[in-house]
Amino acid sequence: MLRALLSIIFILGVAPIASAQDAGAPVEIDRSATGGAQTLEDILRRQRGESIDDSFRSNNIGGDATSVPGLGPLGGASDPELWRALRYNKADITVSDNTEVGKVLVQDGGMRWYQFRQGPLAQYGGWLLLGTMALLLVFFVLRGRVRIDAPATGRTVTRFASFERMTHWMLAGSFILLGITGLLVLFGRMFIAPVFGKEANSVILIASKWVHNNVSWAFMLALVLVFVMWVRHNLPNRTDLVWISQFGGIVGKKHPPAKKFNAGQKMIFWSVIVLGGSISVSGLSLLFPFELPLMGKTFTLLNDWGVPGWIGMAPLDTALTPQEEMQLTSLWHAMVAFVLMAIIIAHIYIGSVGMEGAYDAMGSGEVDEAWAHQHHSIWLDEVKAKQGAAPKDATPAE
Amino acid sequence: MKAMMAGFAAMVIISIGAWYALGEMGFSSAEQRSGQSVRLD
Repeated sequence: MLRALLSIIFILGVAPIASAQDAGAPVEIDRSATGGAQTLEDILRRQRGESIDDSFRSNNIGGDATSVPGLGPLGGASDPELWRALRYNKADITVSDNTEVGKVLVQDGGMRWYQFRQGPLAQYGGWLLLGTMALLLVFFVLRGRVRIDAPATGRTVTRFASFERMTHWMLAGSFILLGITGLLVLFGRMFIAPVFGKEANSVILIASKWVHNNVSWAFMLALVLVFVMWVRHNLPNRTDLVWISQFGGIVGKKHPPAKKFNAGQKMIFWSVIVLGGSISVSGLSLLFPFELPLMGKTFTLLNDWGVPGWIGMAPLDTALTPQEEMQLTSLWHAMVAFVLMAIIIAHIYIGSVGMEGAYDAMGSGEVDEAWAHQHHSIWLDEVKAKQGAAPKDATPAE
Repeated sequence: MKAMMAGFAAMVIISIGAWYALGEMGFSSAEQRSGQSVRLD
């Protein structure tokens, strides 16, 4: 189920950019007047961003010298045919770079990447973050802080050990730095350069890239540690249904029972693991350009599962150039990062101003028993039972 | 607060270590795809 959902999200997010030219059913165009060559209608459709079956051009790259003898050094290919072969990466060429990357002399995926990045990605991503903050502000004004109902007992229990908190802050600190530097890289040219100049923007972006490339390793290590430390506490169970049915006590006055992590925290945990994992993998692909291509393989997998057909799409193009691989990976990286940033903004809200006493859990690690009873009653009972239990190696008094 | 500072310090140390290690590996695109004949320094 989760796999299916992620597949559809992936297809809706990235595939349309990969096949923007193929959107919609291609229309048959009468090219008899031009002898099969491009017509005004082709040009106009392309300018309007409509779909064109351009196989009449991409396949029109000449023949062999043997089949058309006596046509000079280019054999059966005329200059326009040679240019078309270069344009569609069908020419048999040799380059000094001698890699698949170097052999792509003309690629128009870059324009689609640029337009999507400067357009919908920046626009919707920016609004997602601002909208999340605005919603939380409205929620805070309407609901106020979630207070501790019972008076503080003065007795505390250890919520998170020192190593757990250190790992959490390593993950948090690195994610915030990665988020800020990622946003600077995306929005710098739009907002910093016009105000502070291109030189200043350049310095900021070079520094951002350095931070982004290197801090990412701390993020990935912390992500693995967090997963290992907390995964057993984040497996779904029946108490989660009760918690969800009562909106976790955040809306309303009830305080549903919960173990060490309630259903809301489990959602945050799995969002961080799944989305953070995806960001890490795509980030590694970007960190080592052209070495770890992901998109063509992912599209092949999705085609094999028949996922595009579930939403009425044709199979995805898996023959991507190395450059297109990087372009699509960078877009996926940014899209998933935007979603995770919005989730983490909500997490920061509830862990700080949104809930009284919540910060202590990750600050000092000690929480008041009244807070623990209100938000994690089952966990508190378990902790107290352990504290009251005799040590395992204790021997009964004679 | 100590744990937070320790987490941030670990992040800084790992980042500097990564920068050094990646530099030694010559990971960057410029280093991977340049040579005497294709890049003028």
